[in-house]
Amino acid sequence: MRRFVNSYTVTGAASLLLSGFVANYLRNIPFAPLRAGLGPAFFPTVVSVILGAMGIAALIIGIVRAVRQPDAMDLAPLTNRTAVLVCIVVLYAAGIQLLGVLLPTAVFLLVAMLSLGVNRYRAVLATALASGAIYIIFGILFRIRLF
Amino acid sequence: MTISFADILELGLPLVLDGSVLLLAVIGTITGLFVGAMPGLSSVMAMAILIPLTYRMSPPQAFGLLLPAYAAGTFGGAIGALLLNIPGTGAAIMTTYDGYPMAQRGEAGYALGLSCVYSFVGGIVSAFFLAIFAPVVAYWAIRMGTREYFAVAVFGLGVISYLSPSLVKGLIGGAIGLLLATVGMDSITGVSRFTFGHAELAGGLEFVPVMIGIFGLGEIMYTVEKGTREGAHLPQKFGRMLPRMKDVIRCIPTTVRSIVVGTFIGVIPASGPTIGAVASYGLEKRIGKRREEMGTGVPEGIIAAEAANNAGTGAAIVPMITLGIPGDAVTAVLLGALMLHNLRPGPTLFTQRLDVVASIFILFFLGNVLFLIFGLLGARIFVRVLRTPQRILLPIVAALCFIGAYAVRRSVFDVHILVIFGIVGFLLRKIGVTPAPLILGFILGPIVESTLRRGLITTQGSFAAFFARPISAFLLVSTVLLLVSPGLIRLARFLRTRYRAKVERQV
Repeated sequence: MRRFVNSYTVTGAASLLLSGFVANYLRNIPFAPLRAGLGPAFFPTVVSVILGAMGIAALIIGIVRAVRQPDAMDLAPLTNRTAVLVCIVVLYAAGIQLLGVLLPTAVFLLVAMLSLGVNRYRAVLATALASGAIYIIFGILFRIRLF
Repeated sequence: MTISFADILELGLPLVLDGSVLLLAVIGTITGLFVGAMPGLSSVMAMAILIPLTYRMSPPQAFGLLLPAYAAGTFGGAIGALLLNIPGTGAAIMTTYDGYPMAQRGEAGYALGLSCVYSFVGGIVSAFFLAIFAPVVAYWAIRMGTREYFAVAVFGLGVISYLSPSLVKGLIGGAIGLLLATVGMDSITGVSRFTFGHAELAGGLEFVPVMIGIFGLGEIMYTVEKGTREGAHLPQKFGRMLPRMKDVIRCIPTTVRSIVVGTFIGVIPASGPTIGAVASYGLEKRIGKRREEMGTGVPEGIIAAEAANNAGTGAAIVPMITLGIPGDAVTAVLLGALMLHNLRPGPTLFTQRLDVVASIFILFFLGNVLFLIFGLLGARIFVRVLRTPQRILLPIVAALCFIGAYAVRRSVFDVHILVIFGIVGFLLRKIGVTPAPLILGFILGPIVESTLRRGLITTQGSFAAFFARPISAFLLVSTVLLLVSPGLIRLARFLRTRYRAKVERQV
């Protein structure tokens, strides 16, 4: 089964799922309250059908490729660094909601640089300089509330 | 609608000759050169981050920042291409073939000077082309009805999907973009779609956080995934920068060809400067005087790529400003900037805000002049940019993405949208779906939906009527042919191979 996991099959499966979700959502929205087929559900339905069709095409291409070139891998697993970065980014967004922009930005910069392997002293220095510049540009110059 | 150069100067110059606009143009140029030079940071990313800063500016100030950044960013991509063999932007891919060998030979300064001067030449010609051709297109666009607009939008989506590494994935990206455009209240019936009870989504997904998420945060995650690059070791000796007269004279045919190809391809909706540079380099390799030496570090190779990609920049603005159809990903972002300033791209912009249009023409011209000055004088400084390690730069750019998304409406909801689309953008890149068709679908979605539905209402539900008008019929048939052509070519090859095998068996 694993040999069928490539960028095309994943794209195809995701497109089919999205297409199915859209079709299911649009069941409650009128398709044709105006004239034949021109309601608010008309356009998203057409697009979801196209998306579904392309999803099937991508699945077929992916399966054919997997059969013809079983060793060809075009989809590497996620690296730890990216997973960590995604977590930091999500926490940064949550931090902005709770504490405003500036403090979470400084923490994010420091943590992200350290997680990418920047030397501790350089990371602190770069964080301080970048946070200061952000405060001057956005807080003072553009008068955006950062706290 | 005819606009003379005198009109452009009379209406646009008073807006441009303002201290703040000129200062912003210098900042935009430096930002464009910096971001363009840095592999991993694209000019789309620069525009995405700069747009929120323009929110409180007047349109001339905003475009004073953005247009020079666009022009300079397109040239800036050559710096990384020449010195590291890594193009800073997609448009500089072809510059690596001759630029890098030339730099390796110890002529890094000359290669940089050639790219800067010929990018300027291409850019200036395209600025004139923009000023002359855009009013003409706008004049004809006023006569276009809903069916023609629908056809142009579909053609743009078709071209950008076709140009994606995979047609199927390109179409999937475009379809996802079109679906994203349907979020919010339906403009015809007022029914809410895909809002999931969030009042913030009633007006649709905000363009800026979606764009910054996909082009900014998503790209940063993708770069981290691929592995960050340490600061590069660069040549210490630069040498002469200005082109030698004998090279200039010998390369006149190459220059003319490249500018014509770059402009012609750039003006096609959704094709943009990258394709222009690829086509121009390909043409030079086929018919150029030194075609045999292409790829070994000859000036013709650099000129073919650089003159063409900058010639495509002004051309790519033409469909964006006159029809609302972006020429490439950067102009898609510029289109968003126009809308952010309540300027509706299209022929009416030329009748209602001719002063802003004139200032855009002048600012684009100014942007090209500025990058020539800063490019030649500050080349050694901008080259130092390449020494900055990505692992320091990327978190700072990510933070700017967050602040940019937040700054426009001071909305934490927009920050959440940014994170969602950052992750979506990253995952799409991971599975090989390029973001350009998605963003184009997102921008063109409202045009495609409204023109399709209004068109079908006027034609009593008959789609055949879309083929009754010559322009829409031509564009729709071209789109269909474009999309089925890879399949037809493959089928023809398969049949030919089978036929040959059969003939060989009989022999």
